Amino acid sequence: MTRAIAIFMAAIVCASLVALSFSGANPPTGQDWALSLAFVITSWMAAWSFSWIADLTLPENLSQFLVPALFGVGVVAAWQVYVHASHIPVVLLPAPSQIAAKFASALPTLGADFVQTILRAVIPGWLMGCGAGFLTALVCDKYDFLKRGLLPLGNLVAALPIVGVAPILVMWFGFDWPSKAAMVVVMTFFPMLINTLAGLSAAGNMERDLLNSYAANWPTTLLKLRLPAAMPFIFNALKINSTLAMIGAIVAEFFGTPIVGMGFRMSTEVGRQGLDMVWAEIAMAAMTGSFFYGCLALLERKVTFWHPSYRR
Amino acid sequence: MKIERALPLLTVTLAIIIAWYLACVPMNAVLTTNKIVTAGGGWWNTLAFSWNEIRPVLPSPHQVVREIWNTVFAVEPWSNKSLLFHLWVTLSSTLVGFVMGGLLGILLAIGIVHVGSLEKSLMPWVIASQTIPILAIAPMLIVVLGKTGLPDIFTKATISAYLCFFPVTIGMVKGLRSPDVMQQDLMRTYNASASQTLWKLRLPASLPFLFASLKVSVAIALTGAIVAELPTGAVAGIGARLLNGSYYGQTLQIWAALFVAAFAAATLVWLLGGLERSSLKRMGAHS
Amino acid sequence: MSGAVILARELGLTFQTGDGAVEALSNINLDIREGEFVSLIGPSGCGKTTLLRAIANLETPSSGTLQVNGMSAEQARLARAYGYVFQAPALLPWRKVKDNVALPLEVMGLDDVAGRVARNLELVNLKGFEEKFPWQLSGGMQQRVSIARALAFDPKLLLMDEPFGALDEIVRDKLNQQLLELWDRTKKTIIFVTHSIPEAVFLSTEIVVMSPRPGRIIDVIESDLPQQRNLDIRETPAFLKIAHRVRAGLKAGHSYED
Repeated sequence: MTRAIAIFMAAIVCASLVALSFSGANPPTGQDWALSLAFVITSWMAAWSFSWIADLTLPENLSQFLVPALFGVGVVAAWQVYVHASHIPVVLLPAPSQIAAKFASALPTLGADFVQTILRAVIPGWLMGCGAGFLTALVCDKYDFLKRGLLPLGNLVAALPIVGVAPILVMWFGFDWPSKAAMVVVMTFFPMLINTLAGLSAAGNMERDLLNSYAANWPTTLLKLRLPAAMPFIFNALKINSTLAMIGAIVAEFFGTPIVGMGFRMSTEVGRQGLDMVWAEIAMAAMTGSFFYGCLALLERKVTFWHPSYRR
Repeated sequence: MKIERALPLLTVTLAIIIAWYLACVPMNAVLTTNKIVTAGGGWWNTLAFSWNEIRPVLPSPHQVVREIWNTVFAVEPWSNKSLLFHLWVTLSSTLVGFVMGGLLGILLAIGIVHVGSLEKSLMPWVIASQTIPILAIAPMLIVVLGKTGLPDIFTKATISAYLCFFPVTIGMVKGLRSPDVMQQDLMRTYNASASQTLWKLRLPASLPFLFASLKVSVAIALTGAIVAELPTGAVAGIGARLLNGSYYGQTLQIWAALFVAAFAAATLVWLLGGLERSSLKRMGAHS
Repeated sequence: MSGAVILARELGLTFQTGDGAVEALSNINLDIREGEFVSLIGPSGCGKTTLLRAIANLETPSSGTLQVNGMSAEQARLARAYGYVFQAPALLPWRKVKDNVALPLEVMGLDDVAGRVARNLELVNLKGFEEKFPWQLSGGMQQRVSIARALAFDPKLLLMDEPFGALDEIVRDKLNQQLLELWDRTKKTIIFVTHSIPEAVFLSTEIVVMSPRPGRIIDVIESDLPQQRNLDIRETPAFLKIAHRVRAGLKAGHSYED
């Protein structure tokens, strides 16, 4: 505990000293960059040591949530201080307060981008890609020949820079949201296929012999044993795919899009030096991604309540 | 035994190639229908035109192979017409980012395993960071880092590093925690210090997990490097070639660049796999 | 005596593994009559589990004949002629106890699910645990659920593969006693694989002693112990005589050599 407090005090003192030494010159000098690095490190240490103290003093179930939350608050506070102390131009790094202000004022634009990217591209694409991957996995499970041919290819494709097909998809499906949805389908198909196949072989040999001894046919064994046993793997893929879907849709917009969409907004605002808008879009993307992931995690908990990882 | 494994793979691959050739006909129809009709129709004309368009909607396999040949083997590797040159530009930032991200991931994992408060405060954010489409921040990061005056390769490498540190961190944390309780107790009976336990027990035990994560990371790092080239209108690199081909409708250029990048990714993963097999063999693992 | 339930003649089973052929069973001749409690005993690797699995049609013999209830093993499996109890409980963790016991009833489309579940849980003394999940029960209780599940669809034949091997001796004794009472009440034919001599002698009406690699039958011992037994019988001279004969058979089959 004393170590934590000592580090905390030292870090706060160092960070303050560094903040006071910023020259405020524009453009920032080499010395300013060095000071920036020092400030980032010392304020990170301060935030972390504060979390350490919190971890030691709070009861277990509270500290689970509060420690990362306090850490996050510390980082944001340090960011705000840094922007003001270093006089860094807004075109490089806006302060959290400016981002929040921009978020509030640009809500209509953000909303339109959200509809275009998330509602029209990410969600339909995610549903189609995961669905197709799942069904293909079932077919491969039934016909082993297909599985042995497709699985190595699937592993290969999963390692490739899939984002590269974005320009081709834009060429085939046009500028608007269908090409982005297609991109999402391409990106989510193979992780779902690979994980579902892995999950279908997860049911133990003994359990499979049990169903065999009941003379159960393939659909019955699938429904009563192998699919429930595969759920942890399937949810793993669904969660991975939620991230991949957002990346796919946004990156696909870099290759051509009508004048709306999150990727479009980010790339054009960067060109226009409107970094606070970029950050506002990023904040929206982060919130959407976390919400999506959180919903999946909750659903996973309900479906796979029996898995050992949930028992302490 | 081996033919059993090769046969399904070859069959599926052959089926895909055949389907690809056949798909060229309807996909390119919008370009070729007039020409086919003018030439008098018939199967031969249909296939010949569908498979040899200059700017096809869907290039046929042999067109892609020819384009790759022309831009890889038929030009000098240092000219900016050569795909090898562009590949090298992308690969160099990939490798730098991969090393940076890998080291960061390993260090972070060691920290997380040894310092409880680090895990509690940091891990939720590390996981949350992956729900943000980081690739989308690439444009902004490029601009900001570009102003620092560092060479381009570092800005791209930063994106790659950010993308690949996460799998390495997660994999290494799992690996460093993988020795079972009995083995950890054994080290305690020797009164081994934390760093001795780290070097003698945890790190060796984590190697399989490390290699699995590295293979995933190197692929992601390559993707990151390609995407990092997109927003800045770079003129060199695979991403630049993709963008360029997309703007000027040069389909073959896009497909050739994509295949070369895919080949590079597969080779990197294969090389890592080889490294993995030889290291694990030296440590007594058996297949 | 009633007709033979299991009939094996010159049964042989060879596994093709990566390291070459492994002869698991060789020249097995076996008659098991209805209502018997037969133990297959031998060291690890002697083929007793393989023999049980061949009867259950979970393995295919390479030579010889095998008849279960007058049909081939496969027909017997398709006719759902037996219940199988594994070395581990193999309960589905996402189902409650009552749903686990109901599993075979669902697969086979049988009726009176609730009634069968209740009756069989009572048979294994687990009334009141219907709503629990498997991980909330101890190992011994999980294994009892597994037995209830095997009995749920009322097969005439019960195949048990070292069901109590993973449990401690005190629990094991209790379960042995309960199994014997259950057999007495239901009059089923039970084939029981074990590597414990006292367990085999205590439970069975007939003991089949096997030897390792390749699996052969060394001796078939008809037990002359009374039908109704309790655990004290293990110290009587009659018991020890049979146990001695079993041990001699194992030695003769080189079971104690490496």
